Amino acid sequence: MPETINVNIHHLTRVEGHGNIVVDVRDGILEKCDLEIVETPRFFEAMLRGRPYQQASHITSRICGICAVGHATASLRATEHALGVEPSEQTVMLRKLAFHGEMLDSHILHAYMLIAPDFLGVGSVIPLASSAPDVVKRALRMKQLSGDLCRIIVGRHTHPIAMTVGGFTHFPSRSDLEQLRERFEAIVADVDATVELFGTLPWPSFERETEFIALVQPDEYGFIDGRIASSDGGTLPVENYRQVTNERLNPHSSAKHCAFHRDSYMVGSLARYNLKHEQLHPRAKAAAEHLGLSAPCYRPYLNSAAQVVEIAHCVDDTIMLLDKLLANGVQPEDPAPVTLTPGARGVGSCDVPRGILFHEYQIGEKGLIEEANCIIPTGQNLGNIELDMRALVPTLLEEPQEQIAHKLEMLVRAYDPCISCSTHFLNVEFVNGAEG
Amino acid sequence: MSTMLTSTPTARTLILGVGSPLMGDDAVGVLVAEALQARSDLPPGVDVIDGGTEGFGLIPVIEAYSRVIIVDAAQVGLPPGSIRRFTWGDIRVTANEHSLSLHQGGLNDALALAEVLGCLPAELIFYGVQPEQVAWDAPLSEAVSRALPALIEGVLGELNGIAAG
Repeated sequence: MPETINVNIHHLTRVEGHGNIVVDVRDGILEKCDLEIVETPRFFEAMLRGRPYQQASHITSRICGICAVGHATASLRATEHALGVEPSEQTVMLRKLAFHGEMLDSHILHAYMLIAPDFLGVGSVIPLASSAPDVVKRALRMKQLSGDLCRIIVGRHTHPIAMTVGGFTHFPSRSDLEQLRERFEAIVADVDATVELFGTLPWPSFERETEFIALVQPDEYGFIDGRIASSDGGTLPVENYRQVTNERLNPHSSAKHCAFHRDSYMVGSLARYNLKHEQLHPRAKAAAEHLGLSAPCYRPYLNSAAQVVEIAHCVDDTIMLLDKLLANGVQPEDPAPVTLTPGARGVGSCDVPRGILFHEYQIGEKGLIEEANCIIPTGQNLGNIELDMRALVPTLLEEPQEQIAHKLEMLVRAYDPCISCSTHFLNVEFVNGAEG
Repeated sequence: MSTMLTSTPTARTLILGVGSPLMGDDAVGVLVAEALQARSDLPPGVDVIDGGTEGFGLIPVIEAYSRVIIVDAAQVGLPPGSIRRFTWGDIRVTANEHSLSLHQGGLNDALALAEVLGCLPAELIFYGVQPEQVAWDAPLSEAVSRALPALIEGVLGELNGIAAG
């Protein structure tokens, strides 16, 4: 066994934002195994203070270019709970549709662009596009439909504009919904091909028993509202989220860690699958079987397989919702009224692609936000990733250092962390002669 | 064309503003998109989209157009607020293979992938604006703010060029 292993991955690739993995093994003993989050804190909570409640969902939707609908929806639910707003059945259905658009968009990107290259032996999706263009084109085709679903329901591909406190400011036409219905029916073949492709991947066998946390609803595999459930037993109302998250600071990370019954817990697709797989649509259940998933599953790498299962579920659920809306007919309606009460507080929770998300606001009598708290899924997963790494490293000590590093990177990527949602400069290098 | 993903490109023009309005001067592309969306005198055949901080998701959007004008904050090595017009042929855009994520360098990665897939529009024009400050909740800098009218005029000039044939 090698006496000394020193893995220092500075800037983890294919995750959102900046994180480092640092592993030190001395004299055969694991001395250090940390996932360092070096991203600058972004102070969104402070940014919200003093702003009118109507702006909160628009500001927080910009927290993330991927989870824009998720943040906006959690924000709206927090505001609505604070202001005593009850959205209509139509609003609930339209929000679910937008949420599915985003869930599909995010899962397709993660599975195809960030995970598949690891298994297919290429460094990123760019060489994959050369060696397997049909695979990448399928991903982009599915992604376009998810984006179009968001655009039609909430006004644009990303950063929704048509969702507001108590309802919508824009409504899809019947022909919009009919066309979507037709395109979703046609995309089922791509879903089947996706399940087929990911069924061929050699998922690592590593497993570690852990606690899973997700939102549960009595009658569906849902993503918006419900109660917080733990695989260790019991459920709690979302208002009690602080009892679950128990955020604490960590010396090596600018992100806080969370723990409920144990030292850490996992959120995201695998957590949802483990807690409510019985509520999946039949095609998604068949996908799980094809991918070798069975609950309880303690193999974190299979979080990506659970994402593929959720792709199948969301496509079928979208078709079901479109059928309901087409049967009912979408009626333009005014947003439900609000009641301003001094110091009113509300909590909103959604299970976004990466896991359970909480927003809590206190809103003053003039409608200005006095306090905000947002707890994102990646923050909740960080402690669990580290404990996985600490369990995994001792099993890898005989392998070359490069391979250890790669397996650790793959483990972190499996959690689909979103460390930062950042700007995107166009970094331009001018070809000779084009200067000036 | 067999290389296309989902659609056949139309003769339409897309103005695509990208960036984050919460990140100081990175807002510039979004501000241009919003200003142009508010106008009623755009020539026919022109669409304006706020692309936000989307990365790969922009590929199916741009491939449907024969001509795309992208407006974004860009490190063009000039004083803050400077506007630089360039075309796809003028630059070398490479994917950030070692920091590939959906946002970090998202536009670079998306364009590099689109090129490999053969999905780039026939004509790709950039209006890059040198930012002064890009930070969470930072205001738009004076330099970039002053550049906005000329930037909008520049993009409109491209459109009028189309209208004039």
